[in-house]
Amino acid sequence: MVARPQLHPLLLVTLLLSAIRGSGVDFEKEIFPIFEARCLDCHDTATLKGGIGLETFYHAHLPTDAGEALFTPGDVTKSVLFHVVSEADPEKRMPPKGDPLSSGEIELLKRWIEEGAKWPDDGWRPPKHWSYVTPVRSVPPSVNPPLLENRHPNEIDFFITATQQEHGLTLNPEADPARLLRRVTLDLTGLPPTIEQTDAFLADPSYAQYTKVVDELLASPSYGEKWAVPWLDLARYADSEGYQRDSPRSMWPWRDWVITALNEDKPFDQFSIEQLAGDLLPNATESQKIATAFHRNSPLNLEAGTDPNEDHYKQIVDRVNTTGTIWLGSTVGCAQCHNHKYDPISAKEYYELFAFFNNTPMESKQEGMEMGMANMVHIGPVLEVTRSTADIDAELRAEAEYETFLTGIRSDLLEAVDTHVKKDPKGRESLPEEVQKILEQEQEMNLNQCRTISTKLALKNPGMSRRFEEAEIMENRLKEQRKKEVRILQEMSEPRSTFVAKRGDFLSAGEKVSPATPAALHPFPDEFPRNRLGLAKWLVDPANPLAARAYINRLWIELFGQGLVTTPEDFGSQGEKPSHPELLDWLAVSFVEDDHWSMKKSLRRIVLSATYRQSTVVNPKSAEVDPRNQFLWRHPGHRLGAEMIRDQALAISGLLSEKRLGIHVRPFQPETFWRKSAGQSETYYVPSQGEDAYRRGVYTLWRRNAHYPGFANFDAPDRSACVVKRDISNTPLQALTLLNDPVYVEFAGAFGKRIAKEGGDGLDERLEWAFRTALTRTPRAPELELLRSAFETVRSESGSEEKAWREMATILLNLHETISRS
Amino acid sequence: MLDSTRRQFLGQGSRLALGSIALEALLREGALAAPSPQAKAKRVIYLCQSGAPSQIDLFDHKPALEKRFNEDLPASIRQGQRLTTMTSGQDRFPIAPSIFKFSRHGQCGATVSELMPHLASVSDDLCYIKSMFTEAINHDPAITFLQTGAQQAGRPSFGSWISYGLGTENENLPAFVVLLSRGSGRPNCQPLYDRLWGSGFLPSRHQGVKFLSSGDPVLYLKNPPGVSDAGRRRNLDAIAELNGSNHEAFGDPETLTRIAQYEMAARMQTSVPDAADLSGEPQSTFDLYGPEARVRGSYAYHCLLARRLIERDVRFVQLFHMGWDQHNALPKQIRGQCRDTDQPSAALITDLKQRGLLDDTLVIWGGEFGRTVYSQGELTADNYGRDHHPRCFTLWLAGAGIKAGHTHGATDDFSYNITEDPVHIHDLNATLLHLLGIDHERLTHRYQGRDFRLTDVHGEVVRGILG
Repeated sequence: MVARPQLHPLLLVTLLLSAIRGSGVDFEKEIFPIFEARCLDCHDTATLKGGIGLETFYHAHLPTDAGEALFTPGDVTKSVLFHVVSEADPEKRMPPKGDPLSSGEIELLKRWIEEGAKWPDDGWRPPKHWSYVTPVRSVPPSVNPPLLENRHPNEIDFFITATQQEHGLTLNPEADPARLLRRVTLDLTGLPPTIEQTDAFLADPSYAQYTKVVDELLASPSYGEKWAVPWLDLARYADSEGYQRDSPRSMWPWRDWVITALNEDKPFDQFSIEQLAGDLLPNATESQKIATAFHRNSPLNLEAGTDPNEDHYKQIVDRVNTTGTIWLGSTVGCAQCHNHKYDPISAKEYYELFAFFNNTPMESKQEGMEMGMANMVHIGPVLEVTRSTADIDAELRAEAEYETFLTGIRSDLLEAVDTHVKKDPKGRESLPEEVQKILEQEQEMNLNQCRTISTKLALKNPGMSRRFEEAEIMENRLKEQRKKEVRILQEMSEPRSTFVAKRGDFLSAGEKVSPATPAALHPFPDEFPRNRLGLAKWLVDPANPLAARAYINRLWIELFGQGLVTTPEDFGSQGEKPSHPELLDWLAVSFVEDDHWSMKKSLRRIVLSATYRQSTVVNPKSAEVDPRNQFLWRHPGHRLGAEMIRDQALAISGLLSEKRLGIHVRPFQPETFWRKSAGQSETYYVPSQGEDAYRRGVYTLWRRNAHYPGFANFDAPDRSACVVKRDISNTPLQALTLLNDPVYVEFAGAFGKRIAKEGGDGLDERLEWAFRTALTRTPRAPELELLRSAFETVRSESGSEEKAWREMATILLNLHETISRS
Repeated sequence: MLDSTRRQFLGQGSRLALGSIALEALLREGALAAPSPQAKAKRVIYLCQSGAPSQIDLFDHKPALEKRFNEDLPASIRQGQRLTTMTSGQDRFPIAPSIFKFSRHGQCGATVSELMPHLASVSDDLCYIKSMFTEAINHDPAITFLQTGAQQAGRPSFGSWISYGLGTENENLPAFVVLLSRGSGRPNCQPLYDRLWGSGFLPSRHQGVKFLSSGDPVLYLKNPPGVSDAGRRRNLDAIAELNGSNHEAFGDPETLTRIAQYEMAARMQTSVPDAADLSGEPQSTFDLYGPEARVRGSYAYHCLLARRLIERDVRFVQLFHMGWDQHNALPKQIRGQCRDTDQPSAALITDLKQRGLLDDTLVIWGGEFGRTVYSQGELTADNYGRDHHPRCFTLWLAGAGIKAGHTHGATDDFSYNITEDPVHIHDLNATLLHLLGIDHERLTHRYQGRDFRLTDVHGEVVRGILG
């Protein structure tokens, strides 16, 4: 039954009375002066304490941070304003300072509310912020021709140089061909050019040839491996749950999906729709379902005692916020607890977005008790994925590895049993029945049986328990490979109700809401379904002014170290304004309209620009005008990312594996690091063997609570939450990593051997070969001289040429230029 | 031969000089130009007791409970407040009085249980806050809250804020060092992880540097096998010179920072082992801290190491001692935990005081929340467990600017609700920053369009604990 609104008898009387009196309370003369005198110190438009604004019609009609109405016309009982001024407790009363409002003033407010709280619309609305206005393609400015003569400019350069002109700046000359080739090869594939590639380019370093090289690089399968990394940071991809348990989870098929989609150049709109709602597409394919693992990357708290509902709430919050950051360049997360202070998103609108995501099944539940504590397990939807031949090959290899390991354990155990039997006069008879049974069976002992024997006979075999644990880890991994699984999104047939969580507390349910998008943004078309699929389409609707701008800005960050908007996570009113607004919009429109969301095409356009191709040299005069290089008078030449540094060292040393995709790998790391900081399961780190120790960084196991230290030291995030831009720090720990990490020591050794083997005959020839392999360019005479003298010193001191080459390799791998885009 | 080349190349090794100028700038850089002259504390030692020690068995004495053994916790006390799902399903909440004896100590008459005799003896130097409370009820969100002022991951840790705000005073060691030890009371317990001392959205050089308990004290600190110090020096010189030549050609200041950081790394190779080398400590030190102080990786060892790092002007040393999560078998487990920590914690106070370091060093001891008065699981005359309790817990402070020999705040007869002077984590952090000469509302960092603070939009300095 639906309750019908009733007119309260008292209200009726009041209304009648005021009708009789013929005149109501005068807002301008009687009410607003009270606000001005007693409230606006804290509740003006600039302060909005508690989300309450009494200066404008607009703010006064928004719900407060606590989700309550400031006043309900005609009903003082539902008017916070009335309650707080008439509150008896001085601690809770408003205004907090000075005398309480007089009874006359309170009575006026009461009557004003009862009379309908008339507040003339003063027309004030938040001004539409630049980023909410649809971008238009501006005409590139014309630039004084000599400035860009012979530079093969494109539109980007017209925008950049026009701004430079205003500040008396100019583009640097083009980078020398070797440096340029190195830069673009690293940027497009994450790997350095080989000497052969360099020689080919140096033979014809024309612009036409450069274009050809760019196209080849974009077609290389290494492209997807390089460009997946920033997407994995955004998607907070990891191979573990996060929080303190941080147990392993199988998500890597999704990581492979990303690499493959990038290599296929899946258009960004489709790329987005499949990840947000691939499961809801008609006749969804396996690949489209895998794509939805994107939002299953949220951390999951399996700590005993966690409330599954609370964690579910936190996961949805994470999904809403991550979506907002990536496709709206917006800090919608601010509205989780209160109306957004600066941008036009109310708390209610936040939960309307939340409602789109709230129809997926619960992710965890309590199960059983462990040491008197409820155990938490994952119960979310999982997809079993068809395995590729490569997956099966990998499994067979892992199986062989595991079998060899287990054989070692078996033979040591049998030896120990023998010794045990010999000590006892009763011989074999002395063994417990269970043990005898195992020993007599036909098939080989499995791991559990090995354990049983060891326990039953109380064998003191040093290191055995550790080996059991390692074997178990290998066994688990094998299971993970036999059954290729990934967590996915699924829509429940019965939608879950969504309520505003007051002040962001999931236990304080407020108003019930249904899926909707914020009113200040582009409209939600009627033909779109009101579910995740509709939301996904709305996000990549060309009418969305934010998705393409935010995408282009992130692309710019990868290539230039900082964005055209230097607050890439916030395009809102508190973010920085773009340094080149017309350029940003021009690129955004081109991305959508000309490139049809092709990520490769938009990338290609930028790396072909003269702005990208210019040298990194610091011109002191320009540095004085623009020390932060905001106007790009030089290529910033910023440091390579964590994975790139390792991948490059692998490539230089000749160790890099060409294997692509598949289950994560574990490059060597000090064991102590893993044990102390990792979660409760998998206490040992078992490094991968053979080729898998030398795979590209994107395949490295990402454990949130102990992510690979060689990456962490170079600012790779732990991926507990969406990260738009990695820091580019410069620390002593980076020096220690490159000098002393056993992995880099091994790389240097291999590089040293490679120099001696492949570098040619003479000393100078080899030094030059080594230098070019690491830095692409040819050494200058003093550089060569310094290396020669260093080499000879080591050789004469140690008498070992191998050692001398290893030292040269160490030096080259540690140079600032080596780990930067030069 | 190498030398002559270098001179030709660089002109009297000027590149290294340039590098140290860059380093100088790097070190002095703090977000705040200088700490306020009112700053009482220059350095911090934070003794974080991970897992949440039971305030009822250590400090918050409730003698009236003895008579209520196994009675149900009155509903008027519980007030329907939220419990963890570990005990929310229990059909009753039987009161478990502490089985440990309490007595008064020092001139201040602080009540401390028999589990902490050494600590009790330095009570006149301590300030106990018995009215701490927090917002989170599970470990991960709660310790994240304690460390960063937010329950969800991603904010900078306390130490990072300090490093960011005040910079470093040391050219050879990191500004923020983290030391982890496992408790013998409950060896398999909540793990800890790097983000708890991470720098969040602050520049990553402000993150804590974890000292390891085996192998190199800092990851990758030691030269690899076969590389001598002289050989390493030779490599470093060559790297510096080639970097210098690159800087000469391209002028990128980042290259100078790189040179400086390689030099800093080289100095750390000697300064870290030097700080960690206890062989020069007299027997009296080990008498003070206890024999465990010789065992690398133990809490006692870390207390002693903390003093040595503080002596070397490390700004912030944070110890984490795990194992305080006594859901069951509390009496047995907590004895182990106290054996690990009682003597060394007290020794640290005494030692700092003797050396005149306590005057400008702030010491904090505490966990992420408290524990329930009612028993989790079976309650017997000599055994019980306690669940998580965010509504009240005890923490102590000592040193710079702290009112010594003082107890602040109080709880009800059940150590369940706060009755006097509640102190929120944000209030504590505001106070700690205040002692370091920082206005907690002014130490901010702009990220995602917002000025973030350690204390979010809350926190008031707790005047009652200031000396």
